[in-house]
Amino acid sequence: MAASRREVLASLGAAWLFASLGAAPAVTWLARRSDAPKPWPEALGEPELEHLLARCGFGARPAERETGERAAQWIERQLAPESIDDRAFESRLRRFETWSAPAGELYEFHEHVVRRELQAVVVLGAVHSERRLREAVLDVWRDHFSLSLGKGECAWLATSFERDALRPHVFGRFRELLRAVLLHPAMLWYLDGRLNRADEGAPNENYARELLELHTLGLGGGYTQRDVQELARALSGWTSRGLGESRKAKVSFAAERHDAGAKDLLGVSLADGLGADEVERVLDVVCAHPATANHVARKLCARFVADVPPASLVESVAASFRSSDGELSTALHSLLTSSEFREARELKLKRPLHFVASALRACDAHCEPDDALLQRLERLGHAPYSWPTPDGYPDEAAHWRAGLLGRWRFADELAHGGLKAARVDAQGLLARAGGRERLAQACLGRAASDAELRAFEQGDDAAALAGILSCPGFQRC
Amino acid sequence: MLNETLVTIFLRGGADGLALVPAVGDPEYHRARPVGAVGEGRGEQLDGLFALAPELDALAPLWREGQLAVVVDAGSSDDTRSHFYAQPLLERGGPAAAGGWIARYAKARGGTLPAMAFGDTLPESLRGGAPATALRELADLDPGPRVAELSERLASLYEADPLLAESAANTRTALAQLREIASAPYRPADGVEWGSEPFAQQLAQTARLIKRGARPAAVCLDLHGWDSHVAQAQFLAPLLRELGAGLANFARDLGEHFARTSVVVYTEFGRRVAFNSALGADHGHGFAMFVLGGGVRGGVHQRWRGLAPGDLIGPGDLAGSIDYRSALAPVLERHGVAAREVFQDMEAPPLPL
Repeated sequence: MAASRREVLASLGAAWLFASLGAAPAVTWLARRSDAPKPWPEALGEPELEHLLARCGFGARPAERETGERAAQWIERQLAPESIDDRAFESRLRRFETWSAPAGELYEFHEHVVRRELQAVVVLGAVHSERRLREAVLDVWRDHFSLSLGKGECAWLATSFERDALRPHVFGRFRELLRAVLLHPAMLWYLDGRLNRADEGAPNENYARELLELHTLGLGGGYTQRDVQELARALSGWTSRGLGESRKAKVSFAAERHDAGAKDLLGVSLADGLGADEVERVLDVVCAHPATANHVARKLCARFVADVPPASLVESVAASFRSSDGELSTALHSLLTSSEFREARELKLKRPLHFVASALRACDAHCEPDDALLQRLERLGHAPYSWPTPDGYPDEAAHWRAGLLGRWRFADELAHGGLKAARVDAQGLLARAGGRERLAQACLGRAASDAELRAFEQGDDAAALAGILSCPGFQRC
Repeated sequence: MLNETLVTIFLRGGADGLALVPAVGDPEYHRARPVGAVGEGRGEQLDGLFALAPELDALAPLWREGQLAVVVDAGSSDDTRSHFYAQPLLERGGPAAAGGWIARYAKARGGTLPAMAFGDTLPESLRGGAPATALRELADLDPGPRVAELSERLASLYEADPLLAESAANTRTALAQLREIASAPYRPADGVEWGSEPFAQQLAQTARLIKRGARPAAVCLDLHGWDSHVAQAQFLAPLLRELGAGLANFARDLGEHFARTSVVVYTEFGRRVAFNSALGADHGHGFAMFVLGGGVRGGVHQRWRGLAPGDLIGPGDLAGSIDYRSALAPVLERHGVAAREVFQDMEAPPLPL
């Protein structure tokens, strides 16, 4: 039965999109109704709020300024995402059949379908979820625990990885997040952990090395090649089932493949014979290591404050991490309320997903991600879950700034109504905003400079909108 | 006559030197890899010790013509065995270097066309020196009149932005200089059939740029996927074929222009000599390099220590006995750039290749 369902879906091939869209015209209609143009707010929010929306919210929508919310209130509200009504976004996710399928059943879908639906979920979250900060921090974990759909069976497993391992733990304890990742079949696939066995030669070091270097202590965090080898021994035996097997995506501990001997990990002795419990000890040891707090703090600061964040800030965020036993909401709270964060306005370059989402939000666009939109992201070098190596898409401007031409093309296409996934009517938008100067102000989150206004004055309405979205100020956040 | 374009191919992920250039004549090689070793008599024999991987047979004609230099057991100062430390280290050309070695070379080399990379982003090796631009494909440079106009309209705003001024200027230069080449139809040399894989396409477009007279100082290409922790023999075979066919096609498509082009193939590190339990090889140290193109003296360059446990370093890795930069030094000289301008702290003498 499983096979027949898969065959049916495979035979649909590229028509999947029409099927998924055609199945829900009423929902689309309702969503459109609730998104009916709202009045354009009179003024910007306070500068600190504008900074938060730009940096930690994938860009502002005009209506976000209507409530007159203060920056401090926004932070508290956003750090308690369950208090935010996000039903409109969640009902959109339910239209993706793969999003509600249990991990093992994802294998029944055509690879193209499961891959594209996951990427669409990522884009939709960035553009439409009301839990702005949660989506932004989730995107940090997507890179921290990077996974590539191109490797092995990851295409089928990544949906569950995002949904079951990352999303529930975005603001929770780091140990729980790390545990969910470590014992998820997607990461066991991606870093070859499932093949790490000690009974047929040397253990496979891949996962152990990246766990120390990327997920926890960080390079230079004080571990040695010997720690890598000890950790590989400790993780040997954890495996998962995949294509061609029953109970696909099931993670299990195979005691006969595990190296049961005693180990010495980061100066801590692990007794022999701990079996499946050994992984809990490993999690305790790596999470308690002081370098892990620093490494995670630096990641958060690099995303939300500066490519090379001030050491003092990294230290204070790391201190919050340590004193709260790795509670991520506490670490984030100390980051977002710091003076270093407030003073970093417009100093970072948006990464392409951020640029695309913020352009759609600035245009107050309704987005139905389709293959064409996802291809635009791919061409900008930032398709979700597609970075080829486990270090995740970089944060540094130096990596991204050679891609300006792609951004200009995207802005031009969007402003001229050429994107089917998000139709924009530049003329109508300018009329709603009350002219080019007001639209530029809403897009930039600040008054446009004289030089900017001169550039935006030229050309027709679509050319003006393309200019606003392509200008250097809009590439920054 | 100096060489004009330096083409570098970075094998991302840590390419196993013993997979590219197996030491078929060393009994220890067969002992270390009882499964998956290349048998004697297979692959082009380079000397008494080394052969080319059989999947690199496409390179045999270049080897026999003396146009392929092979460096065995090259190394860097990396001892982390981390992709994400070693790649930028190799691309910068030293632990103390700021910016990429190819950017420093391109700056010293000068010329009208910026150095460029095929890919979505600028690699570390091209940062911080001469103007450089990244393209996914040449067709990107013909975005239509509206976008060209947009870039002009925003030019002065970008000039005033310290973060983006250089990138914007480079983009506009590339647009102006290459648009014509990008939009003209192209037919490769007789007998060359470029595959559709991104790597083949990028080599094809590099050949097109050179033959049409654009003469960039450097073109950086990546070939991803060498991180062979699992079932290495099966895993690497298609990549090796892609690499061999790509290089052979590139030489053939360039024709007479190949004599004024240099090609360097390198990676961040080699791999553990002994396979792990998944018949893959974990991160190691010493690696193999290829150098081809105008002025190259073909042959194997090695200071082979052997593969017995006492010859290896750390957890069982090749020692990296030749500073990889000493293989790049003679290439730089052929482009009219002194090696010390690019690798200031290099002590090893240039390899005679």
